[in-house]
Amino acid sequence: MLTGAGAADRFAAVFDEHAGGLWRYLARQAGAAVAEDLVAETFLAAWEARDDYVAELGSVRSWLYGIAVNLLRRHHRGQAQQHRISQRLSGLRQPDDPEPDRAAERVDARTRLEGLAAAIAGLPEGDRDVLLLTSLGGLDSAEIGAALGIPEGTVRSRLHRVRRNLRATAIEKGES
Amino acid sequence: MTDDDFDSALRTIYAEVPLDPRSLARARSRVLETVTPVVVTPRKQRWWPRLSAAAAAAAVVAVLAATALHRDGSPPAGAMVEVAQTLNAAADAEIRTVDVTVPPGQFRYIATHALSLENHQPSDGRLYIIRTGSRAEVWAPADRKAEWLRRETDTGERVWLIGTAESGREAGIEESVRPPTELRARCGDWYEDPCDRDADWQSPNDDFLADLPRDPRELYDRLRDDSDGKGNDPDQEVLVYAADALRSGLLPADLRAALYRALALLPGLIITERTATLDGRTGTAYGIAAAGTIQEIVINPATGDFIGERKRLSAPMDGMRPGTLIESTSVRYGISPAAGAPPAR
Repeated sequence: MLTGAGAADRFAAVFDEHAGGLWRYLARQAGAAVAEDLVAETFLAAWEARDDYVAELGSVRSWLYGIAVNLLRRHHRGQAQQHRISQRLSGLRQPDDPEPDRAAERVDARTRLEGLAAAIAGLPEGDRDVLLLTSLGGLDSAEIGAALGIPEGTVRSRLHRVRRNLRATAIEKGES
Repeated sequence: MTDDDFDSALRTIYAEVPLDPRSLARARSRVLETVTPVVVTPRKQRWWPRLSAAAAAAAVVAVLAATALHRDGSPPAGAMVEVAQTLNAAADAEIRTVDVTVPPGQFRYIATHALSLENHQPSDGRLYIIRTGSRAEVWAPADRKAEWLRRETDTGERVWLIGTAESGREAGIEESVRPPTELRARCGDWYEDPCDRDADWQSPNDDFLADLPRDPRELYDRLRDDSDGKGNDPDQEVLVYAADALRSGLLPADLRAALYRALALLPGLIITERTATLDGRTGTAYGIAAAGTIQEIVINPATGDFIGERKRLSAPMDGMRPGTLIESTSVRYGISPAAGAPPAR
């Protein structure tokens, strides 16, 4: 599909179909500027590896997300985990509180979010990818399996386990 | 924490970012630039991922650092030797290159991606400077006297160097992406007497190129004579003239080789960056710093490929900082079966 005559035109059509979704997925995790770079790098890497794409093994979308996930991992490795979390949470708006008696409640909510963000950042890469590809990317288990090269059943059980553990962590942090 | 609370927390931590169509357009043009054209010469082509913004910034610093070492006074011992050696290596590579002939009825495809500055001074009286991107594609027929096609496309790339997009829009600066334009003319003479005009370094034709000397010293003297009195700096202008001709994509391999050897004779030419990346391709940047700018050409010394050229500020200008990229062009070649058609893979 991506080789032979007219391959470049078909590739442009693939870009137009999938780049927007990928951009949003990446921007939510790494910001708009990084998303632009990673989208371009994802498609450049896909073009370079187009001979390796096997339609029977999964959709083009899965293939592209698989590449993007690897590039995003590389990007994240370049940033210290703590820096990443504080960067993300500094983006959460915290307006001057008009009701001082509710301020404590808001601080609690923020603490819970910080705890959850830290727990997600601390997940093994494979676990985090399954969670975020589902929640932010909207991919189903089969697509995620194809993207990450793992069986669909593994995706489902991993997702179940990750969500259960993170919810438990959030409850603990909230009560402590 | 319920499932719903958990999902809601995720949506807060990973807040939606509204899709920025310009960002997507820039990514698109970066990608399509690489996938569309094909090289003419039978060498193995390598595609490099484009530098990240941080790496590009580092590259700017490297250019300035390298230049600072050499700008005043004569280049350090050895620098000129290395310039000559690497340019001669590029020339040797060109000598080994056999340009693929364009089959009858087909077209040489030459695509240039350019960034240049646009100045605006709208009714608010403030100066706005925008770096904009464009692509020019030329289809030159195997029979050069036949009809050529030139298509110019606005890539939508816009970087506001002075002023912000927001205030510029309020002041009435038109930002819409210009529709593509096409020109057709015999001999590629778009604006004047087709097949009967005086050619020059800026728009060479086959006769002009055939008449240029192949002896490096003679070619160097010819470059000096023709560029005499032009531009801001005599040495820099020689480099500009060479880049003008190389950019046309019409120079045969023997002339490219002679031109590289001629440039090795240029005083003040230094290697400004050993690994310079232009539109995803890597080469060595040779430059001359003068009159507040660094003019560079980027060549792959191993293959002799001319990758492009760029111009950066070496001193502040109109509020822009040293290191700011103010012009760049990258060139790709291919062979296309029909005018207007993308090059065959």
